Amino acid sequence: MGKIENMLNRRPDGCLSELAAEMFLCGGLSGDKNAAAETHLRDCPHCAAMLERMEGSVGGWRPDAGLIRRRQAPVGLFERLASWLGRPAVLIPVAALSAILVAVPVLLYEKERPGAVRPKGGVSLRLFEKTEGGARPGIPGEALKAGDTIKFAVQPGGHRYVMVVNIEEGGGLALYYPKEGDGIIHETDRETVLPGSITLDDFKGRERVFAVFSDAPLRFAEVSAAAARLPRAGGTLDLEHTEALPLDLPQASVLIRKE
Amino acid sequence: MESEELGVLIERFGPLVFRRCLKILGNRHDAEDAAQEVFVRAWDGMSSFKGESGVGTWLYRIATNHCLNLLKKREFDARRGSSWTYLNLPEPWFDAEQAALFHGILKGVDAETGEIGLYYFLDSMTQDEIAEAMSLSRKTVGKKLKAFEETCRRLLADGQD
Repeated sequence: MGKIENMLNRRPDGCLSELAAEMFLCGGLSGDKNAAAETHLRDCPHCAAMLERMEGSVGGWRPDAGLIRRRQAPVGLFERLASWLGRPAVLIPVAALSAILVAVPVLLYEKERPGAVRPKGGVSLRLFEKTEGGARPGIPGEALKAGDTIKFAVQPGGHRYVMVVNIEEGGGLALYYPKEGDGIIHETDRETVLPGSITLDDFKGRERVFAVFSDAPLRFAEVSAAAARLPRAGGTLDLEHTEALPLDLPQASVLIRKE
Repeated sequence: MESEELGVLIERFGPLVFRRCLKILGNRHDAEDAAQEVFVRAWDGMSSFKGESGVGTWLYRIATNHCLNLLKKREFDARRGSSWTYLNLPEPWFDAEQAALFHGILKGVDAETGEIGLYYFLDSMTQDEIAEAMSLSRKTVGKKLKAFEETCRRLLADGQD
């Protein structure tokens, strides 16, 4: 029997669905449904085994609550603020402060107009090696192996967008971030851990990861063209000493050695 | 929702979200990142949670849709020849062949039909369960399932099984 045919043959009626099993495990089933699930599990080795497998599959993983709070998008914050403002107890003080709330954004807008001077600090790129249940900071130039998984953190220094690319000694270029969207950074004044991770392939040699920062969304074609302009000696890039791409934009980079 | 409530949400539903991502994506590294992203999105969209289904079901759906989108993107990246991101080893139980087939079916149906097909055929949810989780009528679920099944049969007839 083929795979599609197999797929169309569902588990027998009466067995727990994936969702019901999940709800059972997290205590989300109502009293009746929970009792029915318990009865079924006593008589159905298939479902009992499924539950056991599900429970064992998580390991020690938990989401990073700090990262979730830091990654809140401005829309979510606005919605939460709007919901809070809607409470009666808050309405009166809000009315008294409304003039300030109107005036401050106008002043901020004046500061942010094109051409306005905006102080910016330095930019940086840090590498983390993912470990069981966490991550440890990588040391620049440290040897990594195929299969190692790495993540990046950037200090945007006031810039709103970042693009992270990787270049191999032979010139191979890969886009690491953003995989989707325009690479916007919501908090431009502090270090941000970029979502996603990379599992290293079995290419051996030097690679350099470049983070390019800007105040407008970057185009990959622009960064790629800059990478193509890097000088080569005998077809090889000198990544040891090439710390920036030929682009008039703030950058930071990290050298990776793969063994 | 305050910070401690986020902690409770993570504690109670973290495993559910992670398992969901693991089941669809098939490897732990991708599942960890996806599950983290699901919580970011859920936390961001908490104000839009209408309570029509339970929080667990709501998270289950966010995770499902996020992972289905990742699968689409995975294919896009593979077509572009990117060798970097998707070298993660799948879990031993993961049926990559069936996943590829299912992905082929998803391309032939709209997103909602694909989601319903996944719940019915891979997650063994009943039509009532699906209707409740997605706030749809039982009739709509039945209609969409029929479309999904027809796509499957067409692929079967085309010898793509």
